[in-house]
Amino acid sequence: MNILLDGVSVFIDNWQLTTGILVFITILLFPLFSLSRLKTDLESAFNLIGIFLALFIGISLFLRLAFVSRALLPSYFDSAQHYALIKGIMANGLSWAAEKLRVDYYHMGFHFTAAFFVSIFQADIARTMLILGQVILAVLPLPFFFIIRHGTKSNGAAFFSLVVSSFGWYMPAHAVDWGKYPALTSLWMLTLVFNLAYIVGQSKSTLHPKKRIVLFVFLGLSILVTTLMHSRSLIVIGIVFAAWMVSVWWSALPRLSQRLILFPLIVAITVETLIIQRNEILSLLLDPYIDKGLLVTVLVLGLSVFAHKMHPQFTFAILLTTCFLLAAIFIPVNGLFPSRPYLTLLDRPYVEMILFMPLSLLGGLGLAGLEKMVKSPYQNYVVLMVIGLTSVYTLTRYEFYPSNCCVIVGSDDLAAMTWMEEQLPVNARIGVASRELKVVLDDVAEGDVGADAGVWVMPLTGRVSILLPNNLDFDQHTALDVICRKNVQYLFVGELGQTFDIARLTSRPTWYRPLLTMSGTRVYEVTGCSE
Amino acid sequence: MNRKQWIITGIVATVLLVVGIISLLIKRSSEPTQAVSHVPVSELGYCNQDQVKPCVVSFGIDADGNMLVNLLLPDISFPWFYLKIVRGEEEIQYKCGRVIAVPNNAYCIGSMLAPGETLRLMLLSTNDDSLLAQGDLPIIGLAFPTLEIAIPTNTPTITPIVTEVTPTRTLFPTPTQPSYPNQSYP
Repeated sequence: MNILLDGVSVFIDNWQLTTGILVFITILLFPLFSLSRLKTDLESAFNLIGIFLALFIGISLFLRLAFVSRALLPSYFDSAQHYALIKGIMANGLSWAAEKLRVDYYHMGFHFTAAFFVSIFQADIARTMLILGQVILAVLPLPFFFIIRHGTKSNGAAFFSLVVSSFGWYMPAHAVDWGKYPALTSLWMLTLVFNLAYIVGQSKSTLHPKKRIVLFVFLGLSILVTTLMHSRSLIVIGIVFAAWMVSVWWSALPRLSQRLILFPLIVAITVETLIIQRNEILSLLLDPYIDKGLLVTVLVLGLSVFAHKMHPQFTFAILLTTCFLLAAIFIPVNGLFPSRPYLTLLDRPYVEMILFMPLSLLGGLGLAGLEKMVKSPYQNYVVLMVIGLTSVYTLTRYEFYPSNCCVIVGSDDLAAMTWMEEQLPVNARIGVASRELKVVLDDVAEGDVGADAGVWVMPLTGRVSILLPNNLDFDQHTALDVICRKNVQYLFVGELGQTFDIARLTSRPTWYRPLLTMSGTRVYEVTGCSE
Repeated sequence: MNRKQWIITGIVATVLLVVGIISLLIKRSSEPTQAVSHVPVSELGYCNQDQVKPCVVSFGIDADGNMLVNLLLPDISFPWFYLKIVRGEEEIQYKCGRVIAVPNNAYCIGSMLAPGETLRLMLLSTNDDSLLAQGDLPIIGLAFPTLEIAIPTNTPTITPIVTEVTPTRTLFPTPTQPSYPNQSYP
């Protein structure tokens, strides 16, 4: 109950921003209804289903907003970069953004969207990012409801899909702990694209040609916007499209041939899973689904048998998509970006975020299949019980507040940065802690990223920050040489995360002079370079 | 599920939501409201899990011999204020400002005081000097580096006592999510 109260409290404090974002992003759903037969499907039960959906999304939104109540700033190092880009767009306008887009593409669609909300609602950038992320998480499961409702005509299955996609696993919600806001926004857009594509596919004979053209145009625009939100979503769209095309071909095959293809596909997914599990870096991909969310995954996989029986093509397409998604993290695409020498088609975090989609759809299809196969007078009660038990089980184990894994900014850090903004020269060069980024196969480092609140020094204070390894031996002459060569004048030691070793800094009082000492945060002046 | 079952489920969910919102509104209305001119005086203490705000997060010192007081505020509508610390007959004023990017946080800066001693801290409105919050609390958590480093030679000598005290505050409860410190993305 406290979680709900925290969420409602955040909503009351930010009702304009929250409502504005909610209206803006859900308005994208209306063309789907007006252009498709979904509208007529829902009309018969609009009052009840609509009210229940609204209630579910409302409660989900309040629960999600509880995250904001305990977040000082958006979590992890990615968020600082997003904050800086949004701030840049706000300060320098479109020409700066266009130049940035040309030189260093970084999912600018999300940053434009966030800048739009900041500007419209005159809101704080950090708060807008936090609320935008939670609103997306609240509405993200809606398209799952519609696609399952449309595909199976089962309200129970649609609601089951809604529940598991919302709270079944800690992904995609944990993406906000990583600061993966563009990826999260792209997930929302991806679900819309898939719904639209499904409608286009289903409406060949029922829709007027002119309406279909409009649908195609809308689909094209949606794909473009989705790609702008996160470039890798285009690969996901390609994978889903390819899987669907193969499934169309597969469904036309004789039953025996279908089984001869399905069996190796299941073996391939199993082998991929085993390989991923044995790799230290990649094994985390399955953590939300095997470790913490095992019971829900087992339930969904159990239901997938019924999904295959009653909706074989849809199920095959989902399995093939899963197989392709897992395979994509092994396919190298080196040399595409000079700054990122080691890249794979999809990265581990993105696939980890996205796997809930095929699983949620499988669950919905499976429950619908079970409903059709097992005819009983108590069927409805059983479905209601499955939904209820799943809801209770997942909600009671769900973590709605920021994870301590990824909170790298403490209150002292912010006070220290405010002090730095007031006390240090505007051209100060500040050394901040960094560590290697490892998300691809074979433990290859992709580059250096911020390891503590120091990553926020540049976005918040405007001072130049220089990344230094967090394990630098500050008491050694070689370290001082590096610092002096980089012309680092100050060092920021954060309160949380993987910070510099204070003991090494204090052991060289003639090299590093403490300027600010908070209980968790330190700022040093580098005095050893003049020796 | 049939129409009747949906109606029952919908009604139960609606009742739960309405009860939740009403209870929150009642809770909020029973709390003192923050107005610029007539803000009831709040008790000022160290921040803890109860999150009674305003509250003191921590203290710090800079190389110029200033003491920093890091504060958490109830919300952004909390009036602009300054800090007054009463030490016996002596009253010392500290200039306060909001922390960048997080307007719910503020910090005050002024003369350094010796840690350990219980002092009266008062937050006063910059508008009309009205008292916003006050509390008697000791200065803990001041992390003094060695004297010769922390204090420049041209500043008055002070007598630091505590080398490092870890305050018992827990601003945010520890979430249950595990952390994987060896991975870039946990």
